[in-house]
Amino acid sequence: MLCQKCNHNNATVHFEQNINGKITELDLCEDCAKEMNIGFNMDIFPDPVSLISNFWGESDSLFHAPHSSIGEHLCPTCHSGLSSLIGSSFLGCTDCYDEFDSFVENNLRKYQRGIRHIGKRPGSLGNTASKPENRQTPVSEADKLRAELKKAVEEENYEKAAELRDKIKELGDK
Amino acid sequence: MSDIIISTRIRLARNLKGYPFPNGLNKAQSDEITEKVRSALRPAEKDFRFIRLSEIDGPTKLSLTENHLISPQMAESDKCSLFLKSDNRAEILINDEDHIRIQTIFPGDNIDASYDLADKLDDLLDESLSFAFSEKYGYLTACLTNTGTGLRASYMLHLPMLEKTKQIKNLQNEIARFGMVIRGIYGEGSEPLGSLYQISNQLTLGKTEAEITADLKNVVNQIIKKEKELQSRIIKNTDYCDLVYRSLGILRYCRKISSREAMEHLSNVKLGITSGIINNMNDNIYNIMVNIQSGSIIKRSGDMLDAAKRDVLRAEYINNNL
Ligand SMILES: [Zn+2]
Ligand SMILES: [Zn+2]
Repeated sequence: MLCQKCNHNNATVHFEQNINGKITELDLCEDCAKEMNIGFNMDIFPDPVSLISNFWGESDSLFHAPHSSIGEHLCPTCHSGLSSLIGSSFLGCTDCYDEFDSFVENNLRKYQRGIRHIGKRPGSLGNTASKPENRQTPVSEADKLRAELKKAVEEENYEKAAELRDKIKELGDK
Repeated sequence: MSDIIISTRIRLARNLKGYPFPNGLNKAQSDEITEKVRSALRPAEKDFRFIRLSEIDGPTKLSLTENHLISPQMAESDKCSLFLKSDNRAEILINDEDHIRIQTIFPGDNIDASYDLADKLDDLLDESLSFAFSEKYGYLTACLTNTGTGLRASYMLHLPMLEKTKQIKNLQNEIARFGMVIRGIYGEGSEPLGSLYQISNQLTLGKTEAEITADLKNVVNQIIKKEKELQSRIIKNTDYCDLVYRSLGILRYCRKISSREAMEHLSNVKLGITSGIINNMNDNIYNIMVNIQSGSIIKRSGDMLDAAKRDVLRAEYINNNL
């Protein structure tokens, strides 16, 4: 079995956490486990599940700190740890975006096309995109592709150019 | 022309700093957020009705779900509430997947009007709430698939001919390349009821709101063109004329009918009207589709009816309204 974090090394560390009855399992390689502090003193505490339930003893603290494994870095606001976020597109709170920036960026690359926001902004920060004058001449998908096509031709990347031309044709926006 | 477009919708996702996302909120925190939104919305108070989902009865909940005003998950949660605009064209959902979701829905081809209203409500809330926003990633949302604009724009379309000619799957693959997605509205998975489909953008980051809606509009126009073209070919076709009028006959004279069967025949009749097979008939089909769902029937009768009784009332409603 491959490590679920790097998808590269063999997984040697099995990790389980029980969050209010919902069991999340992770199989990691030693490097990734170390990086997430999961393998921490594994020999002394061979059963991380029982360790966690002892550690977070009372039900109240269990509620406030469910998303973590021992010793790993936690988001100070929602107490999520990276181990609970892996494999999911959900974060714990808005501060997680800062706390786990490289995780966020990698996943945004996976789910989104760009990773830079260019749209509307809150009024206090200077709202631009939602103003009507900025909205009248939107750059269409086709225009964007045409720009890419021009670049591909200039670079003599004809395979890519052909692909782009087909996409533009399908969009039918002439 | 736009009879294929049933409605257009906009959703903007917003969150507040300093709280876990709704999934991790406790009751006190969720009440706090609800109160913050309530006071931010005060200037528009008279236009909105406040509904706490934990305080309304089952049939009302079911009917809100069937009208796509709340999600089935939301109906089960005790943290969720909503502000519903009196004309039902806008709602502000609190503590669904995100702290705040502004949703607008307009009948017919009105994506710009839908966006403008959502945008205005966002401006209003933005005046007194401070939304979580990053210079890099824009509006921060619970799920990374909504980060950036937090905008989901969608069209609800009636696509009977693309469905009958088995082209939905193709369409799905085609539009996925442009970061858009199509899915059935009623029913499960591969077998949507009533040939109703929702097409929406999947990408929310790296494009402006205007680009997102413009691209979606462009793709939808091409889908409609294709559907129209297919419909124009069946006007003189005996098999299709028979299908359409047979369905009309059943709907007018049935004495009991299941929701599944009714949806199928209603869709055929709607196809008859938009294609021109049937003349002189009002296209109120979508309205009937919404009103014959179980929750709506139960709500109208004021009684928790069993399936057999619902089927009778459903037939009666259709007989009277078609
Ligand atoms: Zn690894
Ligand atoms: Zn967090």
